[in-house]
Amino acid sequence: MSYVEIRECHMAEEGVNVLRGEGLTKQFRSGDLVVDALRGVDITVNQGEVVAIIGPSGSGKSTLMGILGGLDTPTQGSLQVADVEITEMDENRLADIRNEFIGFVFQQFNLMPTLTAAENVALPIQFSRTKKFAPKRRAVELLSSFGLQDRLNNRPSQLSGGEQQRVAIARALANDPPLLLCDEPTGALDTENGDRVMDALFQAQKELKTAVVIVTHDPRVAERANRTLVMTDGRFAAAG
Amino acid sequence: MLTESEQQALDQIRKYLAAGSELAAIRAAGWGNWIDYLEDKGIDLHTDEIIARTPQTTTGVGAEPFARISFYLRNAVLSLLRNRQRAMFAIGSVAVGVAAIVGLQLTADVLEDKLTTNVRELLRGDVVTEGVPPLGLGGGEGESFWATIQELQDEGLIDGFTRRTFIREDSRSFLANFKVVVQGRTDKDAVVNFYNPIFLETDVYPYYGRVQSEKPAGRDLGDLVQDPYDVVVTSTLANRHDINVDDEIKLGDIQDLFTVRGIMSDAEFSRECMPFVGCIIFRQDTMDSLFVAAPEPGGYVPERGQPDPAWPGQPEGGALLKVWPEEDIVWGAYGMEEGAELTLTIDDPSTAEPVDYSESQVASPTNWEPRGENYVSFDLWGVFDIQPGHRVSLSGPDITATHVVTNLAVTQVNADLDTVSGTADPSTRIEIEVHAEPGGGRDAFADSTGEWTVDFSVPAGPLDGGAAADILADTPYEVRQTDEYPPHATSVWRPGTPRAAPDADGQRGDDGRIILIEPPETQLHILAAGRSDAELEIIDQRLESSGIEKVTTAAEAAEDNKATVDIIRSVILVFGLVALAIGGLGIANTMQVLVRRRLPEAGVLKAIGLKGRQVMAVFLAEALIIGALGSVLGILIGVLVSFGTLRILEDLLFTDLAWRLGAGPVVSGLIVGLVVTLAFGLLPIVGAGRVRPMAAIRPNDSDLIKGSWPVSLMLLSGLALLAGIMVSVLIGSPWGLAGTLGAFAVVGVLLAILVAVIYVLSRLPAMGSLTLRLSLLEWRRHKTRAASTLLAMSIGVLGISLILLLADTMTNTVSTAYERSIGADVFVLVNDPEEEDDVFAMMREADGVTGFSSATVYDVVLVSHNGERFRDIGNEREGIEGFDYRDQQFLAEYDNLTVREVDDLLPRLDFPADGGGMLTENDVGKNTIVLQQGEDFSAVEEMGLSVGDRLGFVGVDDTGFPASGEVELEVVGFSNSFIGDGAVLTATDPFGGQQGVRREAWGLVQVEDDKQDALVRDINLAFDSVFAYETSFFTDFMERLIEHFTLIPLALSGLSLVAAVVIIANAVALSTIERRREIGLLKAVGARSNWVVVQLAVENTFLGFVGGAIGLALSIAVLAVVVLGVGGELSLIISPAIVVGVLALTVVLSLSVTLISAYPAARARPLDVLRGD
Repeated sequence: MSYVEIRECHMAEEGVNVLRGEGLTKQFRSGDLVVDALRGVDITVNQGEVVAIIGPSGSGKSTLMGILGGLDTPTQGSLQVADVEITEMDENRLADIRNEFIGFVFQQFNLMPTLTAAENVALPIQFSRTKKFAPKRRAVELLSSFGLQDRLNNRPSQLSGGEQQRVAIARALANDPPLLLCDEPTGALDTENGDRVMDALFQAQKELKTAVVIVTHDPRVAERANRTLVMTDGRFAAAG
Repeated sequence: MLTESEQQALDQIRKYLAAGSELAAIRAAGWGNWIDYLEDKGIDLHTDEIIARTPQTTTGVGAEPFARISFYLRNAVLSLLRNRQRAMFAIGSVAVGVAAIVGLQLTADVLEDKLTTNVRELLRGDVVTEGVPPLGLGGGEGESFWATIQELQDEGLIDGFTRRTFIREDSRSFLANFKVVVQGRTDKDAVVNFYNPIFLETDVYPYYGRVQSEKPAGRDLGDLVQDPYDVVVTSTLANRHDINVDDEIKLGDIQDLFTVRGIMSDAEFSRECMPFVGCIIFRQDTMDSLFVAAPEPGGYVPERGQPDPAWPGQPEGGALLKVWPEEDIVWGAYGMEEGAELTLTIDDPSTAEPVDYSESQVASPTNWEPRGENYVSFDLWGVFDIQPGHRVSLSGPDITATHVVTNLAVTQVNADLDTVSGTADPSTRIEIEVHAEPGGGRDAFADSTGEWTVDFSVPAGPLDGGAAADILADTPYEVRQTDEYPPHATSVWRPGTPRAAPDADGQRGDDGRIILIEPPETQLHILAAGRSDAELEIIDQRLESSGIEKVTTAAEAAEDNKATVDIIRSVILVFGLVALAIGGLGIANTMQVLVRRRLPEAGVLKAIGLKGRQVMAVFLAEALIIGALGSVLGILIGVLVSFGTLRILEDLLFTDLAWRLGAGPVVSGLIVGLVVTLAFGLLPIVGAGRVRPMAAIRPNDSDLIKGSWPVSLMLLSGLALLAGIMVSVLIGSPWGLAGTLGAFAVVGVLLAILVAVIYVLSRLPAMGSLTLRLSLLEWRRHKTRAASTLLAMSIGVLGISLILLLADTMTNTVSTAYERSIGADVFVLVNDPEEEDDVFAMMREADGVTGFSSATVYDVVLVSHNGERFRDIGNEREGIEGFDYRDQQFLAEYDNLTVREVDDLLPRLDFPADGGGMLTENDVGKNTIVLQQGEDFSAVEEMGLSVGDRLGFVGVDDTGFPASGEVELEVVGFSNSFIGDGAVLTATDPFGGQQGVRREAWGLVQVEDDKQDALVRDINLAFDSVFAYETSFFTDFMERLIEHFTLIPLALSGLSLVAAVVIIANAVALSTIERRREIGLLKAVGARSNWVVVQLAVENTFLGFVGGAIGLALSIAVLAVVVLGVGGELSLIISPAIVVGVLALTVVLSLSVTLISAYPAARARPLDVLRGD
């Protein structure tokens, strides 16, 4: 099944699972010591749904994010993105999945320091196989919609933290992925900037019907989610 | 290929897409099956063309086809700009390697140009022969050689020849006789003690190309040196002694002054001129007329009763008869029994008078040379004047030998017709010279009646200057009879000039001319213009079969030079490859830092969907740009370097070189630079491609790269193989592969050893110091990195310290040996015994003299061992095939005997354990000697000499004839050291009372340092034939020479030290990146920036110091092996200054580079660092 087709299929049927993980575990070994970072996590995210994951430090949130986004592989369990099993995929196919289906927003923004805001947003499109969008035009549209039309040609070092994070969200949405993964998106921002970033995020989410998973410490962010999952010691305490 | 229906379907889908429809809509419209089908076939529905036509792109912000490439390049350029410092390191590393390759190749090109184009100009002829017996000397080999030259000329194979003669600077007669004093000056430099005289037929030399002066600019040699008293000096000499054009110089005690007509580059005379010493160029006929070579006594032992080919004219089965008319000496040998009475008669056949002179003598054995038979020697000086035309006969039992002294006369000089006529022996060749001008010298043949006429109005051949000559009635003329070719010195005659009495020391010949004891060396430049290589080969073979040492044709020279160039190219290639490897290390190292720093960035790229190869491409683009910039920079530097190298080479080789910029080196520099950058950058770049995408979320994890070591090992092996193949192809030998793999293996083993060293070091107690504790922990954590720092530093230091120590050892050894063997600060050679007392008195009384000693050096031959004559030894060995006295090196080893006073200035020599000892007060008045032994002295081994043996010596005169009875001396010691002139040392003068034994006197003084110059100057200016110099001259000379030759290797080692510094800088940078958190933490708990800097400085400076110490230790070990290998010639001297200097250098370099690298990291705000997660 081609990627375009997968996308079309899941767009076609309402309520399809954008993400479905079952029994996800992750163990880290350090010499004889085995650390269970994830202890059998089940998670399902539907199209257009916003899921917040909260939990104390070291509870495995970031590990889970890495696995959900195809950045890391689980020790055990299955993970389907748009009904496609990705745990057994090779590196290159995983890269395509990340490019087409998943957008990442990091706590530290992680913009390419050498590129302008517009170039940063255009980057995923340039490496997309399907080339659904014209890179520059798409970048201009997205950044404008986030109120950054005046900052197109600024480099990250010339932008405020809030602006950087909005550029990062634009970049995550560049290929119009069905799933957005946000790792503490407001963690490096003050409240005001954090709110503006989250406003932008939710506005885009509504327009694009993108599913969003947010790892956050910020209860106000969690409040705005459809569901909130609480993580402790590598598993969800309660499903909401 | 698609079928027609498939193509139609594809076209239709693309048309929809181009119109802006979503694929889903197209699918929904019933094209789903076709879309699946086409996509399964791998057909991309979205062509660039379609994308270009989609509505989005028509707005003008579309995806250009090279978008990705443009992204890679743009990002690369910007990233490099962001990491300027690091990028400069990498670019510098590439540039260093490329500069070396380009610079060396350009230099090789220039050398190749010089050596292989226009070989004839280089040879200054079509054929050149070396070791030519000089014209004017007798001797067996000369006969056949000059006869061959004559034949070749007669047969028209060669057009002409010109002689180029020089005298070795170590000839003692030269030192005494050729001292030059610049007139009108009294400073020390006005005396030229050391130089090489070169004699050229300036009116024809050179046959090819031009030899032009620097001052006055652009004048030809022949133009400047026209008169026998004209000279030119080379610029080295002119600069050293401040000699200018038109200066007058005095040569020895020759009354007429010479005029300096020009100053020339040393390049033309690089073969003869000693480095830093320089030459004076005279006309060839100046030598012919001013200096007479001593007649050679032969050196060939004929069978009893057989004619000696060295002495033509003796009757078959008769005696060897030799007549020196100008000395009035007759000498006969061979074929006579001991005690037989031989009668000498001299008469003049033309007058038919009765016997003019008669004398008898009893034949006695020659006890002075192994070739000796019985001989008679008649000295008629002051008794009877032997004249041309006289018939000299020697008769006795079974023996008659007759020699007619050539009858040579000029009978008519016709100034109107420019002809000169005369008489000579019938059918013999003569040479006539009427005045020292071009065209004034000619060859002629006497006809069957003995008459000859030379027409000077006809231009002469090339030997004689190619010009016609104007004959004046009162012109002094000189005729040489040449009954064989070349003429013997003994036949030189100058009619009409009164003969001067010889000097008391027997060194002056006729007309106050100087007899050269050691024959000059001559090479012949032969003109055979337009001859084929085959014809040149014939000339070569004929000359070689005439017994000449070495013949070189233009074709051979071209071939030899090509071979030389090939060797130079190989050497240069090796140097270049080493430089590249060093540069490559820098690149690998710097790329590692560049990539390591940005692994989180690589992780982000992966997170947004870039594949491993695409991430690699990001960094590859950076490497490419570094490679390209580095190559361009390297080429520029290489070009500049080649300029400098050429100047150094010109000095080194004493030649002129023409620089040119070839495309080859530039292109190869560019390619090599790019390839090397990519090859050495590959490992970290591949690492970047393998970065875990999780690095985007957890940038501070330690294992950001997936399973790196097996991949690294594979890559390294591949790299080694690739490098090996490249080297093999470049040097054209499969050994290149083996060598390269070996080098990789050696580096690997060294690294492993150093890792062990680091392991041990890191276990040292920290002694309560936190800084030390953290340093030790850091080394333990990064053993391999610390080991590579050690390796880089130790290799860098190894090269430099080895060269410095070796040069120092050589300089010290040589100068110490020289100073010890002379035992004085100022050395004076007195040539005229009558001046001895005056000179020595002046030396004793001179200002600042603290010690004086004198020595006498006699010319001797070794004739017996423990009372056994060598002729007897010879008889015992007659049965051994191929035995030849001439092969017996030991007979010539001890040919001078030095008598020294036993005093404080007596040399301090080294004696082996059972080799006896030095002369003492007890040896005064006793016939005891000390002998030199060693590599060049085989007598000790061949004759089985030991302490207590007796050796018999005979003193000889200027011509090598015996001039004393045998003196037996007892050996009391064998020294390993250089004893000085002669290698035989005694405290007693064994020939004190005997006239005729060739001797010279030395005066030796110890004098205060600041008084040396004045003493040397005063003695040199006060006495014409005295030669004084400071012994430090040779020390300085050696130092300069060694300095000169160590320059290039030193520069190359410097390069490796630079690489080591880059590697340290990178190691520091790497550790600061990895330890950002640690540093931030330390600062958060109160450490100051300075403390962090000190921490990093201690870690790395100590490593640099240890690396330097290892390198130094290795270099001392290598030096010790070299010194032991060379044997007694060198002694191991480790200069503390060099040791301390090198160690200080390593500390300063490591410290400063650490500070530069560590300072920015130390200034990072702890919050920024710690907030990372």
